[in-house]
Amino acid sequence: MPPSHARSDGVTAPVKRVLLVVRQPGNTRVLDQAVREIGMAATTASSQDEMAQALAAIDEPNIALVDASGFGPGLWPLCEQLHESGVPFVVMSASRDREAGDQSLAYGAARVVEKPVAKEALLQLLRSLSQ
Amino acid sequence: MDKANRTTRSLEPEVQLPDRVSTGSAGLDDVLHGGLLARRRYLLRGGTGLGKTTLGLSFLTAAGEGETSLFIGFQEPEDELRANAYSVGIDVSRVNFLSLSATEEFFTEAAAYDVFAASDVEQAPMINAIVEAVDRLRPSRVFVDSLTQLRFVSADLAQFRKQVTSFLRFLTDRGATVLFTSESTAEVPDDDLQFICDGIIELEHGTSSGVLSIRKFRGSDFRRGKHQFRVDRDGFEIYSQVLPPPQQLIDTAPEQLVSGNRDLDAMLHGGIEAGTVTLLTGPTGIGKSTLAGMFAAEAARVGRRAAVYQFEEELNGWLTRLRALDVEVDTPRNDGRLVLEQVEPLRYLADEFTNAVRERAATDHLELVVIDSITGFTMALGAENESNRPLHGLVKTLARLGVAVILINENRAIVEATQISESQVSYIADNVIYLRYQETGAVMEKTMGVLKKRLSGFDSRQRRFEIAAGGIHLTDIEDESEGTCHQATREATA
Repeated sequence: MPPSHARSDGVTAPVKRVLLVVRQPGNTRVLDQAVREIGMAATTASSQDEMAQALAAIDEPNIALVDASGFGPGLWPLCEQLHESGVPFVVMSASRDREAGDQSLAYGAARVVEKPVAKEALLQLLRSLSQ
Repeated sequence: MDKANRTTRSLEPEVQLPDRVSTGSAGLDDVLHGGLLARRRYLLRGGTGLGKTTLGLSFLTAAGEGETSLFIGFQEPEDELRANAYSVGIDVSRVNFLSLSATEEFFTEAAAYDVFAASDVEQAPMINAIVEAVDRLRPSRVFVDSLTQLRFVSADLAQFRKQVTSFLRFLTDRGATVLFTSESTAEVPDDDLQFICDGIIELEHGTSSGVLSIRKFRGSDFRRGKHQFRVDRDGFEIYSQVLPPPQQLIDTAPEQLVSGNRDLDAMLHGGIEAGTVTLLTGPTGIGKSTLAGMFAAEAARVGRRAAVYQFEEELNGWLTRLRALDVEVDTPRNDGRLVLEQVEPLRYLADEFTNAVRERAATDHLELVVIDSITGFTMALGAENESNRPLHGLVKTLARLGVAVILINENRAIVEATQISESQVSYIADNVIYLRYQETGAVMEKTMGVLKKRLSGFDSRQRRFEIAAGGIHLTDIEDESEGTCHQATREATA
């Protein structure tokens, strides 16, 4: 049963879940902390296999956040899989890697953001995309 | 204070602090005319390795009974800070540490991140930790090392300035006197911090040591100029520039100190006066140190106290020569009336030495001080690039204290037209006694004379002299041809 939290009208709403697909542990840590701060839950994966397992294990994430760093060409099949799963996803890429950003959109990314991103702006994006 | 009052006045410090707060360094307190003003913010600036952290630790350990002190560090872990403090003799057992430096896990667990700016990740936990520590400890002294680190977790410069102002206010409102450091570089200057603070203590590398200066001190006067300091096993030691005390006007003639040689004292119309500076000048080996030793020994013999600071010659050799001339040096040395010190090269900083001599002059009631020599003073104290400032400050101070000072000056040329000094110190001198070699046929004779004496007349004739058992033997120069030298001397004086 997915976790839930009480809304102001007293109705219990399920907690939004974010799938963090990130290779760099430091980024996983700070992103995990950030999504928890706004009451969302996080599931982490650092490879396509782990991502596939996570997608199979959890009911359905509301949204996925992909850090492009460290995946190389492996980023595209990963994006394809997310797209095919119907999970909206945001790709974070280094500012110098504009090509990866553009291509991510072609592979179905809902949005591409450049790192570092303002924390508040990213959280707001996650909120709106997870509606 | 009852509990109700304590509640309503929660921002008052737990302990009533004095208006002045010691920095932990007596020398710096002296420069600051008594210490820092309580509950203010002070910036401690300076490059790496100059001793900012040591001074900060001294400040914290100067906390009195009932006071609490807090070290907020962004760079070094607590155990390293404690070990460093111990190595310079500072006991930090009563200091509280809040270390916000990165742990090794940041590296080993690959904790680095690049998705957010540091301000989004680091700032909040850092501020929470500081607020928690300050609210828990209520420190009256806080040292922040360094505030520049806050800049790196601030979104922009405007945010940084606001945060620093607010942070410092947070600390002082809770009763703390704050000392903080900065790391100023060309890329990241700390001008903004200089405006925010109430005072600036600047540490720099000087020519022979570190130097400290006060650039700003709101609400207080302070001693200006650059003051030498050192950091060693005794911690942070600063030596303020010796400044002469105000002159006391007197209406009686000063006492005279004599050499004990009747003819020489007669040339000086009785001797050299207390509170004057005498320059004893001449080439090497002519007898300047011996002559000064005679003045010192005679002063001690008649019950005065004298000190000789020997920078060049070994004291043993100097004493042996004086004993050979039947000058009594051992008795007054043993009973403390004649103080002798061999000043080893680079043992003292110039201001450290001048402070020590001033203190000894006051506590031991010295009436005569011999500095042997000016060149040795500047070389041994590493003061060669400081012009004559330390020497000038010292001799003026001693003179104002009523001490007669003899400065020995060595002229390089063996046989030369009369020259007072190559060190440009003659302006300090009230009296000038010159010694010189003079070629007389195949013989190199020694002559001496008095060139200047401010407080009395003097015999301006040049005399031939020898140093032998019994001291100095003076004879008149009768040869007319030698009058040329006499004339040259007069011209030099004019």
